Amino acid sequence: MIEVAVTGFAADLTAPHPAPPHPAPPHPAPPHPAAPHPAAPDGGRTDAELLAPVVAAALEDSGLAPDQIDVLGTASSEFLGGLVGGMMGAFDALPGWPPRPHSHLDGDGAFAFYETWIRLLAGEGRAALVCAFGRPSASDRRSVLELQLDPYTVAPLGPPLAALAALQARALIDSGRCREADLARIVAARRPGTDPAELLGRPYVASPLRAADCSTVVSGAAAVVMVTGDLAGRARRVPAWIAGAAHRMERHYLGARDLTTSPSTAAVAADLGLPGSDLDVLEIHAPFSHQELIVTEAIGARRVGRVNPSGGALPADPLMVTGLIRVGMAAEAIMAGQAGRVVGHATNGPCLQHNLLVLLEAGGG
Amino acid sequence: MTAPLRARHQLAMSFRRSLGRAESTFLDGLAHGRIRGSRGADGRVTVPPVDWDPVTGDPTVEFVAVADRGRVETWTWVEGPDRGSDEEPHRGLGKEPYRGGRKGRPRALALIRLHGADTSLLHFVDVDRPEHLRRGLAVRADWAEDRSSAITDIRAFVPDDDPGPDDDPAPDDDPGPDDDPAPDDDPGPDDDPGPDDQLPPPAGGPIHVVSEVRVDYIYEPGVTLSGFLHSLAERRIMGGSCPGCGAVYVPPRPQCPACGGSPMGALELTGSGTVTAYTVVHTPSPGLTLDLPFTCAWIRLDGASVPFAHLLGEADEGVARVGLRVEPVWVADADLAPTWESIRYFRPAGDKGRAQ
Repeated sequence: MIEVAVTGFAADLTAPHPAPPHPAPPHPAPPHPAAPHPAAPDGGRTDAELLAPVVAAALEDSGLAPDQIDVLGTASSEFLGGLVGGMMGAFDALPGWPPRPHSHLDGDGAFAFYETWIRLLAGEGRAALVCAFGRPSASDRRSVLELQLDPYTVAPLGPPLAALAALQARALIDSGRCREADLARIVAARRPGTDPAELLGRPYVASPLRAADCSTVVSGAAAVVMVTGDLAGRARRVPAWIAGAAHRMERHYLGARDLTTSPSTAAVAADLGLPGSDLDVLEIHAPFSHQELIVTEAIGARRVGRVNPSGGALPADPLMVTGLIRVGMAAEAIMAGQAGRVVGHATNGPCLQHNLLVLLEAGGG
Repeated sequence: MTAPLRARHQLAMSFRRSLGRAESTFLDGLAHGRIRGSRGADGRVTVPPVDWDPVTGDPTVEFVAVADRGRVETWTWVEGPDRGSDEEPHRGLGKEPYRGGRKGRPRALALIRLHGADTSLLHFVDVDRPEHLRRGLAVRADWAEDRSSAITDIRAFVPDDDPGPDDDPAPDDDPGPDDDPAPDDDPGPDDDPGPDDQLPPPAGGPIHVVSEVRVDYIYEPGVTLSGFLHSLAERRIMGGSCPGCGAVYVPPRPQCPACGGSPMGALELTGSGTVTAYTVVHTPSPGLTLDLPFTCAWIRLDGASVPFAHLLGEADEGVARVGLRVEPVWVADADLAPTWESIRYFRPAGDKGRAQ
């Protein structure tokens, strides 16, 4: 049985976010010599210019040279840039020659992580690089994501995404399982310097959600290196062994779902043996504050040491990268020698429609 | 260093989708002032209807009518500028901004459990203030006068002042069998429930839904490419040479895709080159401004490792060939700009139009 471990991780977020309490992931080398222009969004960088330093940092972290990468998995969304095939430019940042098997998906990098893991389990290679990148600043990100909505019965109503999430938050509050004060506490924990009491006095954007309850969308890139067991010894830090990963999707029509629970997350958690168990770190991809509660409850762990020590998605949400960063930050806790059993969560679609969990453990393999 | 370039562009796509059985049944029903759902093997009614049983996966057998009134399950009140207002140009799907009735777009969205349905419908609730909204509020559909087989054939839901035998229970009350009428008990005159009420099939044939996608973008070529484009405005072709493997790229790349080397050194090229492939285009396409037929070619400049695509001009039929030597033809001074189009096309070098 092939075992796979994460041995390298790096991320670049172009907005300030709280430093995690344990060591931060390796940050990329000094800015690319084609220096970014400070006046332009993203410093005027393209996807490739954003991604290249992140790839270099992740490889450095893993102790591998670029030519040791056998398999590539990448993720982004063309709709963020508006250019058909626009992701091709970013591939200049990847080890290019000789050509490797390379699978690209339109979506969050966490799903590319899952697919790449499967490919290593299937014996396609010994070392893989998983990357995600996105520059939502190129577009009105709200209208772009709303392209996901059912074109017949939902999109013509023009619902803002925050409004759909707000329906879920309202249902959760009405069910008695949380209050607005609980949401304020989550926001305060993820956005340092926020006073929960003051937050409760701010106006709604879509009741009961306030602007601070909604993630701050930024541009960013992330890269993860994963290796099979025989290469894990090259790692410069503690390998984070992938003990399991799975993802499931719910029905797409919001009215057909119980929005206050996450059956897909619960089913995946059961597959991974999480209910009733202990976790040192749980990184949750929750673009809206109330969703942390739903995911935590669905996983059903007995005890969680730290939830979102990285800050989670609220303070910095690079679309299509955020889920991979959650997985990477969970792995980071093990690689930094500060955790033994962690879970990274990623989501896709309105109101937690589609959910993925990755379970990582120290000392496996 | 020259400033990076930025340009606006808009992605515009028009989709005309034909509907499947379930969506057609639903939207056609709306045109007739009826709300329809699908009944599953377990007896549960899904609204809007679905083509396949959500539990068994079998094709839906039975479509039923449900009431056009029910109760709010959950709601939200949306702040901010109206979609489609001058403050916020409408960019999403739909032919035009939703305006609703005289009051404009309602601010409240809700999931509404219609009597007879086991799932909830997403729609507007037209109330003046968020204080008027709560879980359990009785609402009824306010139908649009002009209906076109669209979800907006319901203009919005409005508070139902006369909800009938289903009194307005407090949210925590367990409705019980008497308070949650089966479809047969539904009182509304328009809500003739039961299996597949006998509406005629859509008169105009299959229903289509038109979606116009229009999204605005800012495109940035990036620092590396911006330098190249600025040079074109000076009639200079600046390739990038890789410090690692020596490969020369036109246009330059921020990092060598082969060996990862960076940054690229700037290397000016003469503009002379060779055709490595070409094709003659005879077919029009949307947005194409070139006269047909035209020839586009892969051209590898002297000193470059990889070709790029551009136009071949002043090459009569039979002249274009792999291996043809070419030179650039620049536009007039007034037309120079940071764009590939500063080169109008490449033409055969040396004797024009004569096969080499």
